[in-house]
Amino acid sequence: MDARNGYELADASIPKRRTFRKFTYRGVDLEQLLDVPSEEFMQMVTCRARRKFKRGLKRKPMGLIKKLRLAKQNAPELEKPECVKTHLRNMIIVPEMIGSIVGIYNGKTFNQVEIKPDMIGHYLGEFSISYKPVRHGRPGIGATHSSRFIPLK
Amino acid sequence: SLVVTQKDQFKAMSRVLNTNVDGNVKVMYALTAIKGVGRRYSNLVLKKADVDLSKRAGEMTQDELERIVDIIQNPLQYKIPKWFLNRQKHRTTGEYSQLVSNAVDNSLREDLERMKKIRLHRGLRHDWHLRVRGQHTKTTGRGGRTVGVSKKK
Repeated sequence: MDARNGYELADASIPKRRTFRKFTYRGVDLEQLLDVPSEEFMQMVTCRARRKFKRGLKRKPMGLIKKLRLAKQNAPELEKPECVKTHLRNMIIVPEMIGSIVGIYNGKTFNQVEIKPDMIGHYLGEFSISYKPVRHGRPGIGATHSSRFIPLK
Repeated sequence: SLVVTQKDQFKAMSRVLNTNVDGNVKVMYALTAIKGVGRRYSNLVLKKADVDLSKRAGEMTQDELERIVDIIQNPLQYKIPKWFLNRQKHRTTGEYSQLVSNAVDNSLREDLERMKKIRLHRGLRHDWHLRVRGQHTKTTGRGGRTVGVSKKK
């Protein structure tokens, strides 16, 4: 596979652009993770993720995964695959998805997120914030109890 | 209790695992001064080390102290069950271990860094000093931040 993420696989001869610690998930390297069958992966992951896989093995997000694979295949070498948009914020990130670009819906827009190996086991929705962080302005009249009746001239 | 050791061998303060352990206190509670070691863990470690629990921490011999430190740092070798440990199935290494003193702080920092690096929602909340676990923040968590309305006159 490619080393675009900066996470070097065991025998990469491509010079490391940025030296990261070699990525392992619960003691398993990237390379091996990609080959791990889904039952084994379930054991490695947290219990909430495990429960989701156990319950929903009818695999609702099949469409998403197929599109991701396709996008990766079609991508020219050493370039990022095209963005795959989805509303599936409740999809858990699986080693298969690493390296793809996913446009995660936050209610209004599709936030483009590149999936890194670190993100395994989290939900897609956690990377696409769905609210605008609050920047409080000056509190208006009526905000507190004491200021309610002042405006009556 | 009847003092069995000699007066001059009683240590008022010992230094264990980068922390100062008070000598006057009973052993089990003295060890809780170490970060990462609580009452349960301390109790178990002392039992595995064959140390009399009714002793004070100052009465321990150097030999016993070394044994205790060894057990604290390598719990699995001394048959402390995996479920007893504070860092189970570590996210990157998959190890089961008990984090103590500096390691506790370091690992906390690393976790937060990781979340921030991936731009996880949780990590962002930590960054903004907001509640992470889904609590309502409209009315709680004020701690001195009073919002007032100025009377415009």
